[in-house]
Amino acid sequence: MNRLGELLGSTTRGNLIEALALSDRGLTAYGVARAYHMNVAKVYMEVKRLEGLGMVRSVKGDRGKEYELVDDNLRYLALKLSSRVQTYDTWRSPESRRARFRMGLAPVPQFSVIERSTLIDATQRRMPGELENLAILGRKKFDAKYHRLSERSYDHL
Amino acid sequence: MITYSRVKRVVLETDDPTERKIRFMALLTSSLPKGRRRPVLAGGSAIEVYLDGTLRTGDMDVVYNTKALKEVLKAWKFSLGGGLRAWANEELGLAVDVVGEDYSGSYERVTTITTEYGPATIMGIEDLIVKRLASAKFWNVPTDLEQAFLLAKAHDDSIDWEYVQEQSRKTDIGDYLARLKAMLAKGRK
Repeated sequence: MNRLGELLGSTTRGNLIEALALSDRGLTAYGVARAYHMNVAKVYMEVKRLEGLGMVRSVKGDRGKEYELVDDNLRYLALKLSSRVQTYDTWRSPESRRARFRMGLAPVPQFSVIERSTLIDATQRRMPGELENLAILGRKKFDAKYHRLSERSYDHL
Repeated sequence: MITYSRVKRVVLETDDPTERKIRFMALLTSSLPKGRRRPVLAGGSAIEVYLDGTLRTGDMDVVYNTKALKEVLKAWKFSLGGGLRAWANEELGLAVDVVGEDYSGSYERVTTITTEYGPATIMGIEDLIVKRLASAKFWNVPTDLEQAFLLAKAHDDSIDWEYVQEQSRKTDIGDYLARLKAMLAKGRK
């Protein structure tokens, strides 16, 4: 279970919130379930529960009902605890290494070793807008830490 | 040279791994002879600094005179790790890849971060982008294109695109630069 899932007491909830936090647009329950290899019905139940709590809102999208995170504080917490935005403590753990392989920082395609070695899925899984969000987050953190003195010179705050 | 006990205290004072790298670079710069070119943090760790830890990397690629750098690392209880160039100190949780003194980027474009422990010099954003694009093209590492995008998107306002264009032409990665620009343009829509 990832750290967000541990905090929230549910892997499905953790993955769902992480996916919505990383994306800059609404996601369908089916899309999240597929990206994280989760049961669609479970994700659907979870997203309805979060919608009932007012943490998630639904909007009508091209592919049916899409969900967005409402609370920016929850988004920030999710990004902080996300296995895609890691702390040094978890960096070297076997679980973290597996997560990196899965998530694309060190992408290794999935193979089946049963019978003949077969490539199952070589595509990387990035949420829509995930890289943009990471870049914006990175810049915000950089600006909060360093004060620009001149074009290529910064003072550590 | 700054003593190891001080290095240990300063580096371990913070839990933030990116901050530890910055502090280490600052202490390293302060421990090396003045008047020469400063050690430059390059590679993934430099990207980590520009994104302040949003992207984590492992070892630190440091460009400097190998002999002088090794002397300091030995004094600071680093030992040669698995590779021929990687020096690690488990206690500090840091690994330094001694790249050599041939800096392939432009010294005019390095970024200097002033800290209370000394200056830390980081490879210029433009050169990092060019390196990542070249790696994506010639080594077929798709995440390097992502890293170039993260850097370019995060620091779009401070990039000398003319220089990037020129370097891309020289290294024959114009097609990958075009891909990067298309990704940036798509993100702006």
